[in-house]
Amino acid sequence: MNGELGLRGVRALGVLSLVGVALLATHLGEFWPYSIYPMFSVAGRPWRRAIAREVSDVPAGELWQTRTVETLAGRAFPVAEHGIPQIDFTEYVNHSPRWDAARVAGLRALFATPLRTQALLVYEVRGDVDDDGTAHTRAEPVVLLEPTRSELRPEPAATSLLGGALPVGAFPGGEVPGGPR
Amino acid sequence: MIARLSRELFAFDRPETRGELWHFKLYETFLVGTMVFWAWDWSRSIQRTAAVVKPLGIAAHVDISPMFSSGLSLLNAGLISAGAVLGYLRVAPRLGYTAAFLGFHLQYVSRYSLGEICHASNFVGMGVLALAAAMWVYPGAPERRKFAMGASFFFIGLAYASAALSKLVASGPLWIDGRHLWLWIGEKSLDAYSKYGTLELNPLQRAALGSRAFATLILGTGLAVEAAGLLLWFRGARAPVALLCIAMHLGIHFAMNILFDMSIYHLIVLGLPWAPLFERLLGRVATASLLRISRLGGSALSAASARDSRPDIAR
Repeated sequence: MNGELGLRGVRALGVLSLVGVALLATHLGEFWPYSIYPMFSVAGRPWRRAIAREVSDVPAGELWQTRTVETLAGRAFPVAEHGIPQIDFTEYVNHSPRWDAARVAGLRALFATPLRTQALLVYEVRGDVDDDGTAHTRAEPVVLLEPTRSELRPEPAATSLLGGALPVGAFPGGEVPGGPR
Repeated sequence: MIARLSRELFAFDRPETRGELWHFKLYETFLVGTMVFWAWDWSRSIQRTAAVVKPLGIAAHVDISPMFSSGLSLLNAGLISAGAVLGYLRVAPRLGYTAAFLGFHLQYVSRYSLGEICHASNFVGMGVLALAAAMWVYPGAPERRKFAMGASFFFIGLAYASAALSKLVASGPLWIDGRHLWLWIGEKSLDAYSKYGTLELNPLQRAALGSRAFATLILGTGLAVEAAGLLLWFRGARAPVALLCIAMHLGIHFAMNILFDMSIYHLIVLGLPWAPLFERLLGRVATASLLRISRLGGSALSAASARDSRPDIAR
């Protein structure tokens, strides 16, 4: 009797595991709640993150310079204080190889409340560490979000850190003209 | 082998103790409470979402964008809650827990469609799946409880071991090189800067950045603890392995500013030896009750005896 109960349990675990393996194999290792838990599995890669700065008082000529984390333009904009999930923000920027109208609109939706009154500059920061443990960072401004308009980094045909062509020019209210950028 | 695994996970060969029953109720309450909390909490974020950046799970096959612009995420949270209540109260446990689990999957893929893959809820999801499966596989309440607990240990143990294996497959044994920790400290410090507006290293991070050997020791210990997670399958190893995993999560928190708080709570509720503790407490309560009854009984007897000895009381 107990053996039969146990066998039924092991069989059920087997079925759940097989379903999990099939889903993971066909969905790049992630099908909630199944996962191969690959976080931090790839080691030694330089990192890429995103950070927002409050730049209402920064002159336009200083906005688009590449900087280090210590010399970013404007003032700190702690996203947690505004109820914006930091990981969502970073992943959104990291997974946006091309900044079209929809992507900018998505970013504006994330920052909707502070954008009523503030101007924010979003940086993409790339970092590395040398052999003595010293960190080196390079922060590239990606997009300026103002209450009534958005502006992408103005260098024509520059290549983004993510490999996509960067757009040119400004557009009102986050409404980027159509077409891939 | 299968018989041994079955004994370790489910222990059908011996009767369920009262302590085990209360441990299960604690775990089930934790799972259901967390699921319902997240279902409602996520619905707020879902309504702020504008686009699917990374389609996860079922979102790779069906368009989930209607979840964003309407009140569908709130409706789904309501359905998850209703299913959870039906399951928890055993009104319709099979249907209730299965519906809650499926709704929770939809809520997860809607919440995390912005690119982040968040593993904080995977253990809870696996626990709810174990509850739903238990209701379908066994008709008896004690067997359902034993299976749900055993399946949770099975999948959580597998999860930790899988995380260790992923590291070895992707980076090899040199994954533990302390320079890798340096990179992650830099990355996560930047995240903390973005989140809180301050850029500061704590003493553990400074010590790790100051010594490659120390950083390597930290990573090596973490990898070993993750691999040891598989020992959660074995009854005798559960409490020490759960404590080691909790310590590892706290280490990750201090070294990389990532707090896996729900995993810690999950390990505390599931992995620590609550059953013997409850058993002892229940034993004490029972002993105290017996003593009280016997005292009351004794006073009653004394009173009766005194009454009997008084000649003026009519018999």
